[in-house]
Amino acid sequence: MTPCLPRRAALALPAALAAPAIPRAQGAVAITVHYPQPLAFKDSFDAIAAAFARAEPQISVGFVTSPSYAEGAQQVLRQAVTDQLPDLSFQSFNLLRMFAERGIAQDLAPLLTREGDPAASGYTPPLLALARFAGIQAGLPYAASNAICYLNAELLRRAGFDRDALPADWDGHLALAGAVSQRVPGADGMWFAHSEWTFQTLLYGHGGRMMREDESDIAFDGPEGLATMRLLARMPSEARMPPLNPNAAVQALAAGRLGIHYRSTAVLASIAQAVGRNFELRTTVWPVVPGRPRQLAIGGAAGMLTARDPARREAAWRFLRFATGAEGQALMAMASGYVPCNQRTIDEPRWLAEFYRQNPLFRPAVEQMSAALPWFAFPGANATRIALSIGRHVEQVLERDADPARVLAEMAADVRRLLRSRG
Amino acid sequence: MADGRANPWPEAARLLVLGALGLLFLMPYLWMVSASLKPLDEIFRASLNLIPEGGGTLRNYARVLAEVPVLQYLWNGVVVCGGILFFQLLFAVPAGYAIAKLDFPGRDWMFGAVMLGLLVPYHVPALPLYVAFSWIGWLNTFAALIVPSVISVFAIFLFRQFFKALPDELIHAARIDGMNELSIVWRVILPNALPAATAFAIFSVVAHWNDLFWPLIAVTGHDRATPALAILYYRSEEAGDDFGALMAASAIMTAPLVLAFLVAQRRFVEGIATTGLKG
Repeated sequence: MTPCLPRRAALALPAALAAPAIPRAQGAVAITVHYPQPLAFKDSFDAIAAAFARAEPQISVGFVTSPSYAEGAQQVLRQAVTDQLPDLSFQSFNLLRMFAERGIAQDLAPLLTREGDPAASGYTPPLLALARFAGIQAGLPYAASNAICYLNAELLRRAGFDRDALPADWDGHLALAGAVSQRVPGADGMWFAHSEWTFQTLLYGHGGRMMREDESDIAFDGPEGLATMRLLARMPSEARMPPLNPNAAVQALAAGRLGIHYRSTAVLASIAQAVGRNFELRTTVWPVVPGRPRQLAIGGAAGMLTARDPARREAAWRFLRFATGAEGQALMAMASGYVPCNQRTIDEPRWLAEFYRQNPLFRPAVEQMSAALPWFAFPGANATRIALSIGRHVEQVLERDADPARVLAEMAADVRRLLRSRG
Repeated sequence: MADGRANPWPEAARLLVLGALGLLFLMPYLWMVSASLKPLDEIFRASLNLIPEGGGTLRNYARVLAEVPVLQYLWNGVVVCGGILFFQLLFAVPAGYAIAKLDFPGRDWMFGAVMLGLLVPYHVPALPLYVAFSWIGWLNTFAALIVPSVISVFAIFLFRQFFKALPDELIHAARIDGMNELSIVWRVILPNALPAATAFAIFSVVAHWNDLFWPLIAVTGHDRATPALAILYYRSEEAGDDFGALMAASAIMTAPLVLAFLVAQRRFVEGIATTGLKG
């Protein structure tokens, strides 16, 4: 790798960074970039590619896509076997660990530090931690989502609540949802998007961890895990949460039959469109556990470098650096509604202040980014099975009235078994 | 057709029942077309209306046409389905004829092998095929989409059953007239087997037009993508499906099949009625 332009001046301005100050003995390079779910990401990548083409005209970027995160991961795993990897691939945070463990994702730390202090360009340690796995910087975070509340302001008003003075913790939220389902005929109070990811979010809110620091054993079967399960069990009993699948829950919300919908910000654009002018939709930050600080698991995608050829590797790195830089992240946030993963984009008002003033629904997700914790991915080949097992057990508590303590014990046993048989 | 001229009532009752059933089966399709004409917030409203408010909108269709190279996808679908059907008939008709009508050592074994082939799900060879195609550099080509399906054991089985029922005299007469075996297959047997061939053509084209599994593995990007992949574009587990555009894409991608069926309806019904194949 030839070191190039690690200048403080170049780092100060993204535009300057993009224009190479040193003439480079490098001709035109074409790179292939892979990303999943074009429905959510295509506009953002098109905007970034257009800006990148102006900044670095000698690099041409071609895109390939896959319909979902899961298919994207499978595609890249297949291509790794047949030696047809793209130069750069964007993967869900929780799938990145697998690519790091299998040696497909390259360590980006040396590339980042050769440009100087990463934090100065917005790559702060908490943001980098979202894509740090297996001891390496497996990717640079591209788009983040976290859990927020979607409120039907009209239903809350009819239940007698002031929509500008909502409760901050779960006790208040459950009481509010219970009141909506009692006082408004035909309406349900709340729906909670249950999954392994939201389980993590609630567990972090209780101050818990998924595994011990050294990963010798699970850590979610302690008092924090039990408190999480008990909170989940209160949703159907106290707030009368109906048993709906995610699509049906969006329909219930959009049809004006649901008070509060607890879910990832990733669906915000599509929910806002589904609600349209049917009623006033609001979003707020995630409720806290009484007496504890807010802590959330962060979902989203990170770009991992897979190119081997030095020229293409350098070109792919420059595109990744641009897409995750301050300007690229502003373009990403405006085109997709995801939360930016660059601290400068979040902090400096010139990038997104105007966007959030015009789109206030998107603001809560950014406001709570300071409470971000990485989406923990389990080690080994059974990681996906473990996530599914946790999702299934959470569902038992929410939909089948199962005893929280018993379900937690069963879940712990099942996850331990899957961790042991990882081979 | 039953003769109901004497008393019109049984006929009317039958038509009523069939009409109601027809409408029931048509409902999902009508619903798809209706949803494709609505903006998303209308699809999600609590009230159900088949007729879109204010005459509907073509915005969903405009979106699909702008975001997905629709014509390219449809053309790819035609090439792939046409190619597959051509080769399937090319191989299956002579094979079915040989197994049904010719006497040669190992014939029953060969038929056994065909039956065995019917038992292998097509997902099983997918990974070896993928690795092999990547070795010879065939991924992302029409060949990768067509070649794995050119031999259909189902077609061989189907034609064998159909040819069994054809009278031997027909073939004998052709031999006496001096035709060789190949011209017997293409000039005597195939014209007689047209109902079976059209019935098989429906199954083959519908299956490959709608196939998602193999194109998703063999193809990346727009250039060789088949119609089913266009619909997938509007699905997103994390960010929520875009139902209006999803339905518009489905309507566009299924339209050629519906048109083809309407044009050749009589043939298809004949084919299915005379081969005893019912879905």
